[in-house]
Amino acid sequence: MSERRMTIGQALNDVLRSEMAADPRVICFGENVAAAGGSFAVTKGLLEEFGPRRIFDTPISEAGWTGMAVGAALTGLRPVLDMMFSDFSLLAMDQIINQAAHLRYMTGGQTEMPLVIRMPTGAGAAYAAQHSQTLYGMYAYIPGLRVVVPSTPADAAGLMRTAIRDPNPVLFFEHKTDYGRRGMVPEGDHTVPFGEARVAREGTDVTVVAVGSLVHMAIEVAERLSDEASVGVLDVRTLSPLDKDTLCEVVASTGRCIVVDEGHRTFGPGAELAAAIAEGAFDYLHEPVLRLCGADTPVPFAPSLEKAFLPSADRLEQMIRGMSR
Amino acid sequence: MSETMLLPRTGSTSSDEVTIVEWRVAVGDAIQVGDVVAEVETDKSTVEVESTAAGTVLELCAAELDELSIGDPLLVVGEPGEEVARVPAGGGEAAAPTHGPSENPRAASPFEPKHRDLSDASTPQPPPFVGSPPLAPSSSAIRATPAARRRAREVGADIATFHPGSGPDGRIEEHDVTSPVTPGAPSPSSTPGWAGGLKGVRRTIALRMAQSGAEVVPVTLQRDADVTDLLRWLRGGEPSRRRSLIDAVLVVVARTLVRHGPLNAHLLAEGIVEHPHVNLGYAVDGGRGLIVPVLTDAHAAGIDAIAEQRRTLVEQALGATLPGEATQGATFTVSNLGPFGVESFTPVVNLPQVAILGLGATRRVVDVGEDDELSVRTKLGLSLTFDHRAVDGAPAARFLDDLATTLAEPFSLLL
Repeated sequence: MSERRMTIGQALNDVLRSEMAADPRVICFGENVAAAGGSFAVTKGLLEEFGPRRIFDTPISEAGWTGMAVGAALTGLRPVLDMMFSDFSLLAMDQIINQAAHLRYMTGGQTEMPLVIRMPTGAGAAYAAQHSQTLYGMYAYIPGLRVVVPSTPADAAGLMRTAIRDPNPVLFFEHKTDYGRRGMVPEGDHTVPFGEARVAREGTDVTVVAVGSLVHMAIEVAERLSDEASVGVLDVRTLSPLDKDTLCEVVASTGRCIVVDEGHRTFGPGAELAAAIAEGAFDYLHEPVLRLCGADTPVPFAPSLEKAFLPSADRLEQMIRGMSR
Repeated sequence: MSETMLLPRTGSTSSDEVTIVEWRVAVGDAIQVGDVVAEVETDKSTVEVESTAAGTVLELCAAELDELSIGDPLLVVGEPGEEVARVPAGGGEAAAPTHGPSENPRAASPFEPKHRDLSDASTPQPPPFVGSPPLAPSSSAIRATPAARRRAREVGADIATFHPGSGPDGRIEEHDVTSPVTPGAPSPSSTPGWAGGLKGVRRTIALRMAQSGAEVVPVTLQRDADVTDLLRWLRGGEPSRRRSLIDAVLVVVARTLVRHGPLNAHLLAEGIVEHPHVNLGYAVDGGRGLIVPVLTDAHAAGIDAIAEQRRTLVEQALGATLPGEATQGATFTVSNLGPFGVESFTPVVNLPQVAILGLGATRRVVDVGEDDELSVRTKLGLSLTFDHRAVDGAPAARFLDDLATTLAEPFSLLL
């Protein structure tokens, strides 16, 4: 299959275009998606191509238009929403959790809920505490929701295609500082299944389990340490469903693991990953599973403090050094 | 809060006693995890001890030349100027009056409850493990990684027997767990009285020799090998390219052994195990006593590689810097007393190996050829001791004959 080099933003735009072209039930809406092409340009050009019946702007009313999307999905359309900042989804929690996540279950599987909500996520752009949170752990807690956190253009494209075709509500977390990340994307009908973690780098001494864009930080540190230790990196890709088999298998092969995630450390996704490893790979562990996570504070606005809030490459390097001594 | 670093197990020593040879740090030094803090002599070799703690050294718990057991407090680190928290050196019985056995649940009973309640961090906990406990702690209360516990289950060993381990605070790591039956390793519990006054390398030699003497049924075969042509080849060519006889003999021994499996074997509890590879032990007079570093995979090495490896190992043995693993895994041993003019002798089999070759001095002799022609030849004395429990006379003699023939016609190795 031939490949094309593009950014994560371009890859998502490409998939939306091809899925909208292939399936008239796929529609897009949200704040600034149509005329402006999306706050992060992911829906750029779609209005011109598909017209205002397929992609349109909404008022600043997340609960209202998310509810509208739940109804649309329930009655046969396949809406793809743009939440602009995943923080805004907190306004639509009732629609997302009480309705979207539960209706398939409550109807005994008689309905489908083919709804995708794009959730620009994370800190690092000095957007302050109300526009920088990492909320995917909170949603992964809710049964019935799919939670996807891609790290590469190829995975963003493949997982988005799978998300649009999935009969369940999917929360699709795109890191807002990573839209410009480039990589090769397979052309054609490229899909990545949910629930399959990806070995981003082989390693025999320590495994770094990373979520989303931090996969790249982990790889960078692993390369930096390649003379001292063989550090592998596992990209979780989807938090729900979580690929515990691969997770435990890879960690068992090294016996040493650091979980890296941008979410808050306490009760965060890192805790769930560490617990899954402790349950599934306990007998192979040489050391306690460690976590490198976002701090237990709101995301600071000042860039220097925001940097201190985020997991850093230097800290990861120190932690790996402390392990493979 | 000061932290006491316990003496970890270093290398693959079979004994728990080490002697502090030299401190590499002093009180007041700032140290990191992994820094070398001391040099200690084990029964096998002298090794460097790396710190498992970081901070400022507050106290050294032993003087140079003191003997310590694995798990004894080695040094205390903490913040500069911090008071050293006094800890009983020998477990509960040496506790300070304010910290008597009755107040210390660990010292009071070696049998810990299976589950300790660690949920409430504000509850005063007994101090972390310091010093050797009076008895080996039960396997649920000792610090061990899950991987170490799994390994212990796999080999059918009690994890407690490996306490303390080489990890932080004596945590048992997977590599600390070894198979419980190691034939040839002297067991401390069966130490005879005469060994009581012996230390370090001397003690190990004594115990191993006694074990060999008690178990092995030794037979020594002696014959000469004609090394005239071999020496001529070795001494030809550029002076800088000259090789020594001993290295050539080691190459020939290793390659000949490959064809004689019964001599390149271990006698173990499960039976006689013949090895496909040759790890050649080479006896060295190491200053502190006999030491036998191992030339690994000698059958696959050329003479220059053997020479280089042997030179390095001998230097390390003489300088007491031989890593512990460099004395492990020999499948056959060569002992050379030739430099002292000894012509032949009866070397002692090094268990669990089944044979050992002694090399004597070379002699210039008048040789009577097949047609009664006289010639001056150089002969090397070979003394092969084998354990008759594992090997019979004929296969041993065949090996010796093959060896002597190959030494006489070294170029046959090229065929």
